[in-house]
Amino acid sequence: MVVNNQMKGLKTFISDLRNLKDKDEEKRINIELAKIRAKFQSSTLSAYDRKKYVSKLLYIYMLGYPISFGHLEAVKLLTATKYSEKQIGYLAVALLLNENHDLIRLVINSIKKDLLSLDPFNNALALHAVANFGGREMCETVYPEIQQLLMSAATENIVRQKAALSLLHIYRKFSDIMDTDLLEPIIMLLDDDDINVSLAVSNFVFLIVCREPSLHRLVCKKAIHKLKLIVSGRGYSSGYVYYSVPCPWLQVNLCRILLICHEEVTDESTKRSLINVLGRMLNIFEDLKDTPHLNVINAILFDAIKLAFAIDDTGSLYQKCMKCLGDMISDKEPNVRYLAFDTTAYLISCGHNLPSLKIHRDIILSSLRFKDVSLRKKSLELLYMMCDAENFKSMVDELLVYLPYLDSVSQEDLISKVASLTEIYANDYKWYVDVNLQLFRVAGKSVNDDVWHQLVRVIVNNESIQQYSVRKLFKLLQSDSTHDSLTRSGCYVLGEYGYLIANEPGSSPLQQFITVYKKLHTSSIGTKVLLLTALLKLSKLQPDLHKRVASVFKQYSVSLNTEVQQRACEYLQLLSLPREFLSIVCEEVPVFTIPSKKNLPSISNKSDVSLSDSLNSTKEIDVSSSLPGFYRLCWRDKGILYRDSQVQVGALMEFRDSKVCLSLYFENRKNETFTSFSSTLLRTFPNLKVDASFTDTIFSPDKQLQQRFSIDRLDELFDPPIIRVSFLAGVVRSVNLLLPIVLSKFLRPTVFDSFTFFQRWGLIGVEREAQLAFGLNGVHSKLDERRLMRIIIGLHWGICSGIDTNPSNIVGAGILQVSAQNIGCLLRLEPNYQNDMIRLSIRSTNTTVANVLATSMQDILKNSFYADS
Amino acid sequence: MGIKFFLLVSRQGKVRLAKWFYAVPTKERSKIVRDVSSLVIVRKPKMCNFVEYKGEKIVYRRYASLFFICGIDQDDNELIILEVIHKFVEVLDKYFGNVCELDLIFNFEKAYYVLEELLLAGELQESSKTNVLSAVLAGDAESEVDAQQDTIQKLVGNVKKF
Repeated sequence: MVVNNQMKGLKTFISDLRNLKDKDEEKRINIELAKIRAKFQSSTLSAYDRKKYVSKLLYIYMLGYPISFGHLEAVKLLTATKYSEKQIGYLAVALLLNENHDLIRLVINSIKKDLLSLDPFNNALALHAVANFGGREMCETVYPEIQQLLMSAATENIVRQKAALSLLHIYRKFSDIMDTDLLEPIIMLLDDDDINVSLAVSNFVFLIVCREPSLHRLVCKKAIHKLKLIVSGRGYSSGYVYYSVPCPWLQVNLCRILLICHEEVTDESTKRSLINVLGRMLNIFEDLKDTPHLNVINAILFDAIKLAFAIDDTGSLYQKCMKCLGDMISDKEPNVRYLAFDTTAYLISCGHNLPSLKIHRDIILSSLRFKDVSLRKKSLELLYMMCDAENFKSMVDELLVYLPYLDSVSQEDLISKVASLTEIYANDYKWYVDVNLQLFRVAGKSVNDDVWHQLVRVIVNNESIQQYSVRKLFKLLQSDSTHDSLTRSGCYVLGEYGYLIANEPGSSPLQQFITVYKKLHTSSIGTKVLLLTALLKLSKLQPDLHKRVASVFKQYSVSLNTEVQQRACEYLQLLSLPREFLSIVCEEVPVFTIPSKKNLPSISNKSDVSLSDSLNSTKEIDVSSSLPGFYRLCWRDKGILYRDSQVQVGALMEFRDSKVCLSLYFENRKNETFTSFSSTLLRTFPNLKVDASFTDTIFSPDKQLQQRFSIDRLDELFDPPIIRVSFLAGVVRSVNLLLPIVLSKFLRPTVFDSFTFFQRWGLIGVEREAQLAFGLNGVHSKLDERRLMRIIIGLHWGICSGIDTNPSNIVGAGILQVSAQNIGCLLRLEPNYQNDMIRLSIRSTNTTVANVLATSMQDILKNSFYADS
Repeated sequence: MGIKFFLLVSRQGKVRLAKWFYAVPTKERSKIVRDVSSLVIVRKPKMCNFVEYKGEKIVYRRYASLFFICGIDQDDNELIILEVIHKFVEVLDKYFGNVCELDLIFNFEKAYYVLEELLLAGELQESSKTNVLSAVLAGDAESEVDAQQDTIQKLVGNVKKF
């Protein structure tokens, strides 16, 4: 079927090369390159020859040889009139030049000319060029033509679909070139009669919904309509049925689009019809289960299931989805299984509860033993996601069973996953130490530094397990071969806490010394250094060890490695100094205060991270003008954050599941237009998302500007964000606003009965309590019972009334979710109405959280009882 | 975004086609090609068709002696990309008539033209096999007209000489 209009010379050249050995190939190519270079330099090069030689260059380039000339010839071909030459020219430019090459400038004009041409073939070539390698300059130049091609009814459909994708390229890379007014008409094209235009546009719309939340509503309507049409078997011709599935690509795109904007499906009838459509899609899977080409059905299914979970709050599709997922998890085909794991992990991460997954746990576990590294990784990820406070112990145990059988990469992966699991969930530190030591023992070589650092940190920070850990580690150290990570952590802990077991049989100071000394010879430089320090610390255990340690230091003071040598010399000097001095140097390390990287330190509960007044740190930035509004909005969801003669800033807080949104509404109170209106974040934190930032916006009197801040989930504690609003109203005006996003907004109110409350209160204990007593700010402030109650409720505490012996005390509880971990918080507030004083006690499973909550509440309460408010 | 690059690599690691949908410096291109092909070639037939590479996902499928490889984003739909590959193979098969590696070596530019009609800006632009095929053939016909004109001109030139 192929039309053979190929150049003969090229064909012979290719077959010549194929007959040569690798070494000769290079020779032949160099000869050919020299010949082509000479041809290009001669003045009498026919168009046909140019085409032939450029093609040869392309072939040589594909073989992996660098091409340093001929670019200009490629450009010349591109501007030729003959289609076949043009075609090669475009191909050569695409392959040889990248978008920033200087020569690209030369082709921009001829690309523009081809776009304007009436010949659809030329249009197509030019559109391909823009879509595949259009740089900024090219895109700016040809943007109007492309827009014209897409929107004009006179254009052929095949050109329109190419135009849509070229425009997508421009929007993707240089969105500032695009007219924002064009987005809506493009969304309308989703409904185009031509299924291909529709498909091309759907790719575009996907990017639009990622970037423009304001257009979600419109997109949502269109996409549901289109999906319904296709699933019910209308609106496409038979050429678009692919293995008995109509337009699978479009279906997938539509599902993915809807997944992003599903929150706009608010009215019941739309929701129901979408659920119906999804139900039908799931049924198709059931019907076609036995057909040979399942891939394409599965492709749609995974996206349909994600969407079904997001949209369906009635639960009518739940059973069907779970059955499909279950089938696929146990599917023999590795691709399907891989994606089933992936999808399930995604669903769990979205917060869906999948209890029926438990039946499949063994299958998922067994996938850890597959040869395929991709599948192993996915199954591990899924198991990690499936862990919760109830099943983590058994899960960790089972993971440990698989540890010895894995390759080193997967081992490392598994170890860091297990280590972080134990850190998140451990309430029993003995168990924590046991599991971690098992990791070290079984797969010491795959333990990376983070893991053993963390173990040491936990041991140092928890007095109760020090003796237990040092005993265990000492036993492990006595075996002949230990990996670096075990030697390092073991000797470090032994140096610190060796004295705790010095009186036990079999672990006398001398035996401890010998154990460490034995390791010294065989270990790496980094470890040696640590061992020397451990020896120094051991030396104070017993006077006669002194001499032995000194002789070791002497031995290493001539080490070839400067680091080791320096330490040995310095330690030797230390030993010769008076005793008291040494004991000061060798004092126990203090508690680590750096919280661990990934999670909040639920485990290092002794860490007293100093969090003085969290609001005090706003000192550097003056936010005083917004403070009254800020304090009010801390416990209210709606109100004015700031107002002066020129602008007013209203705020509205919304809460959806664990998501918190703050919308700010800027209003112009004057009858004049402000220019250069901008709002920028001065202080922010990683999880804070802003939908629109104003820079240089025009702010007319009739207009209201809106800015939305949202936080999907908390990963760490934060200070309230600050924005700077500035505009030109004759002079530059600017004001800093402290945004009322405080930790208590994330509390989920909870109510306990008297028994549970005090049981938990006692369980957390006084050492994890933050207590503050304070009076009110302002001379005329008066503590008011009803207002106080409103504030406490507004701060999202669940009020447990009537359980305190003193009826005027207020008792409350709440749960805070930080990095997927639930932190319980309990409040007891004792007001003194005579003296206008408050005593505030907050206990939480996490001390840092208790501190932050207490200080921010103190701040809010102090400033909320002014006589005039 | 959709597909980031599309590679065709033989079992010996020779590149038969490489198409990039985002700007990468040449040096990095050859590194990615080397890394990805060595990652894919060693995989056994019973393993799944996805591998991770530096935060990207590689979707590949082997047809006879050739590996068809796509680089995509982590959260893209892998199976539908596999179908894109399959579609490409189907069209090649129709176009060349029982395609083999040699066809793609000697007509490498045609393989690019076919891919161009199938994928644009990294996204599937045409999902009907017949439409892709007819677009490519129409292009061929267009060049054929050129070739005929060439011949005619040559003949006219010869006639004039006499």
